[in-house]
Amino acid sequence: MQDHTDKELLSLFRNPDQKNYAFNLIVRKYQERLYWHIRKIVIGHEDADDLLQNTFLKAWKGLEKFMGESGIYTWLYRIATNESLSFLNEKKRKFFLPLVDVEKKLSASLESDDYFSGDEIQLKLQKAILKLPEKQRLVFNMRYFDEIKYEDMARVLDTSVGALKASYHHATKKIEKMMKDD
Amino acid sequence: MENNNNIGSGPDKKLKSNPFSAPESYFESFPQRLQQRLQSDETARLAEEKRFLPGLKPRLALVAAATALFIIGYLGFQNLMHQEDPWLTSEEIAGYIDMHHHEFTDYYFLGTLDDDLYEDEYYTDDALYEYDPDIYIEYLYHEDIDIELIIAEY
Repeated sequence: MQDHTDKELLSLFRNPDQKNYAFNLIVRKYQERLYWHIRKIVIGHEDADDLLQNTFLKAWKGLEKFMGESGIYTWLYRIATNESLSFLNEKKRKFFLPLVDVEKKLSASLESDDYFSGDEIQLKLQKAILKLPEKQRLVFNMRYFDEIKYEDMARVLDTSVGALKASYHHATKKIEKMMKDD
Repeated sequence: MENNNNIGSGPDKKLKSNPFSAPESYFESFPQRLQQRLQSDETARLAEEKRFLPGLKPRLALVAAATALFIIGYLGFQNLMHQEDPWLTSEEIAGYIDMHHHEFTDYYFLGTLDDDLYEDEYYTDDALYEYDPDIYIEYLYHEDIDIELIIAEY
């Protein structure tokens, strides 16, 4: 499959005859990275699958108006992040769960997840990540696993680079401590 | 193990690797499943529109007709209002005097003649714009109108 640039994909999408084809290319190009991003937030595969579909549905409706001021990936990442956080908040509201119980639930689903292929130390790391506050968890995942630049992260999360660096630093220190203590 | 736990000191390939997995062929089949969902959403949206529009159409037509009638009526009324003679007729002067005869003075009478005076070629002087009773007297004199007779009649 030829790798199109975002600009080419957008221009194809704006051509009514090529709209479906272009969207299909966008989905194929970004689905994996978005899936893993969502998956690390919500943990379960079924939830991640639903949220990935919702992300692309929103993208389909909004891509026409997307001006391309940021890359498509940054824009999609932003939608996926918002969808995932809304999902977790909805879960908290629906079941009247305090934050610590959400973390416990996610931790439990991590252990029973058929699609978790990590070893013991990786499970330990994931459990430690789940104990972080929501924002720090996001920042840590995006920086540590996805190696996203702080500048891109700032656009996705609407936060300054300085705040993100501080957030990542705190998250790293906390995780190191949790891993040593356990 | 201690080294593995130190996530801040340089990239640890094992720790950094993705511990999650997805069902087999998940990414191969995802675009197709998404297309199906897009189509079913679109079908549902169209069905909703179809269900909603037939009932809505007559109502919209009614609202449009009422709006059109209102606009036509309003414009017609506005047109009629603007077609009215801006100048006072003698009947209007008489009507005005009838209405206010209890407080009528020659001063008021002269006031009602105001518009007629402006029409008269003889009185084109700028002084007309200043409310000067002498000018009205002069006008009545010029037109050979007996002001006392008129006042006596009203």
